Amino acid sequence: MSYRILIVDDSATTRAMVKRIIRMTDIPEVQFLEADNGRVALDLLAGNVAVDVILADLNMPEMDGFEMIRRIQANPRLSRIPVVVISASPGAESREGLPEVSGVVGKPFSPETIRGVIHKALEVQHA
Amino acid sequence: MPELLNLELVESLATALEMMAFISLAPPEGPVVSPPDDPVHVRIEFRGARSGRLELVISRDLGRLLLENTLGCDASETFVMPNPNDALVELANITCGTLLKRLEGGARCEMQVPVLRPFDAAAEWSAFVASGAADVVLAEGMPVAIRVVEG
Repeated sequence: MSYRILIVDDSATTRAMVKRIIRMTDIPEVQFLEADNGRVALDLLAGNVAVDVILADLNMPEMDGFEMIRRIQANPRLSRIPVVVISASPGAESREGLPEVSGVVGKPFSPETIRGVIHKALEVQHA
Repeated sequence: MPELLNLELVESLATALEMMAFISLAPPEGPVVSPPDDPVHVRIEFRGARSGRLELVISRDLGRLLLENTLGCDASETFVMPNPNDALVELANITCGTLLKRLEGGARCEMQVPVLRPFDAAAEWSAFVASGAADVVLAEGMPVAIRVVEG
């Protein structure tokens, strides 16, 4: 089974780190989509691309993660996609002010934490 | 800058570098530290329970090292090494978030997107580190100056 994961983060470094960690898991055949802000991510999702999990930063230029997640959850076609927040922001891990999401990972993160939230999100999505 | 804030700031930078790239910090060998080679200035502002800005003066060489340590053995066909500037911007972002968590626990502070600019060491270094306004530490032998300006 193959999976498609959308990584939304304005840091190319973090996107590359997350991709590398996921490639080193036992999840077979992962295809990555990338966006450097919420607007680009929504444009990608508007193209009827099937996505299994969205990993999203909060602080991004043009459209931040809060607004992007709100719009995803307001769209019946997209609202079932698990969203995992990956953010350095204080308060993110306590989910203060966040819409309901599948998981929150603070930066800096360990590979084990990323692997754990990805496995959990994929299990929920394909249960 | 109050001593406790200095300590928290340096420990936040150490945590970010260690977890991102297994890079450790060391104190400088003497009271006078030369500026880093090929330096840039990264600034991130924050507002909320605490307001101010965090600033780093740091070498692009450290950005390259950070990328090599984290991504150097990525052999996937589509891999493209990010720009060292991007790694330093993310380092500032993570250091700031770590500092605010240490100081304010889970209280929400809004962090802005970091801004990077070239740094003229000959004209700016002395003022940046003058009178203990900034802490200077060594990361893999490369000087890093860091400070927080509150308000």
